[in-house]
Amino acid sequence: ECSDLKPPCPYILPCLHLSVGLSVCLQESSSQTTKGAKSARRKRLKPCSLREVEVTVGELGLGYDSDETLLFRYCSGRCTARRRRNYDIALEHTRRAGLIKKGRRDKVQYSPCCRPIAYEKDISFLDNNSRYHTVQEVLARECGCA
Amino acid sequence: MKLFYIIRCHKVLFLVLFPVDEVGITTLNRCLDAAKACNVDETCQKLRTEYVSACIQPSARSGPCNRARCNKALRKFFDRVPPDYTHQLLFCPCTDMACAERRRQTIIPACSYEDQDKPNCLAALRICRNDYVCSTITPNYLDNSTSNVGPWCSCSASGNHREQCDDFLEYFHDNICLSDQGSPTGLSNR
Repeated sequence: ECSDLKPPCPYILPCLHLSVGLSVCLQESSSQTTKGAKSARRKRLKPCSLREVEVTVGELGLGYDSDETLLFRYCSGRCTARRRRNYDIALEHTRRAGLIKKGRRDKVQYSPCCRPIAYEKDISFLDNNSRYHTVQEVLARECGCA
Repeated sequence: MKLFYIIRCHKVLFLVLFPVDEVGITTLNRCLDAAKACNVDETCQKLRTEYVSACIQPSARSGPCNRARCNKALRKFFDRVPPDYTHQLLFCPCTDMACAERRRQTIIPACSYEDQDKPNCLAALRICRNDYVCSTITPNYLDNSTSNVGPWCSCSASGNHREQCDDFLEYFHDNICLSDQGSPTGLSNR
């Protein structure tokens, strides 16, 4: 009986008994739609670029108590697979072949990601106790796929 | 937590007494708004950062800071940044101490304004007249509760010219152009 399946099929989905004694839930022909939706989402994702958002200095989480608002500039967006270097291909392969130790904490990046390639040098502000501060390298200036 | 509570209190009070702007948030601190306007403009933010950094950096040689370097950076700020931003920072109207204190701190008085001694005002005025870069009578807000401004000087040791000295100071204090009710005019920082 399909109701015995683990995980159980929602009653709206049909189930299929396979000859090997297993039953599977059939996804409503949605695998095609899911892939389509996913690639449509990927196309909508902007490429790696400099963005900005208005936040207070306190909201930056650097430990300052200040209500001054500034434009937090950050890097975000898609890095196309096209930009993979030979390094990335080699890294993925050696890792998969077990030539590089695979620790749980040892994360490796097989493809470039959107990061700042330059930072704003300094920014100054007055905190809520009337003290001025200058912080270094908190805003991105340029973004790249690195 | 505490700040959030305070904002809630003000929000209730201001919704009752004052009109709310389009965003639905009332302006609590005009000087803070001025800082935001400056931070959001590239030139203003960069030059403000320059003068703040110059004025808060402790100096091994000359006490709490390098006053000449601070004043130079301040002049650069006021010369190059459009008056829309600089006037907003200097002359923002205030109705509470937090706002007024922020306004008072605009030129970093601990470095550019205050000094161990207070010279006689008339003597300072004389030096100023003979100096291309006059920084001896830079006025600043005197406290964080009024909009009174004045130079860092006093009228003691004025001798026979006491009245002349007092008149000079009076020109700064109770200046109608700077009262929080009136609209600000461009008062030069020199």
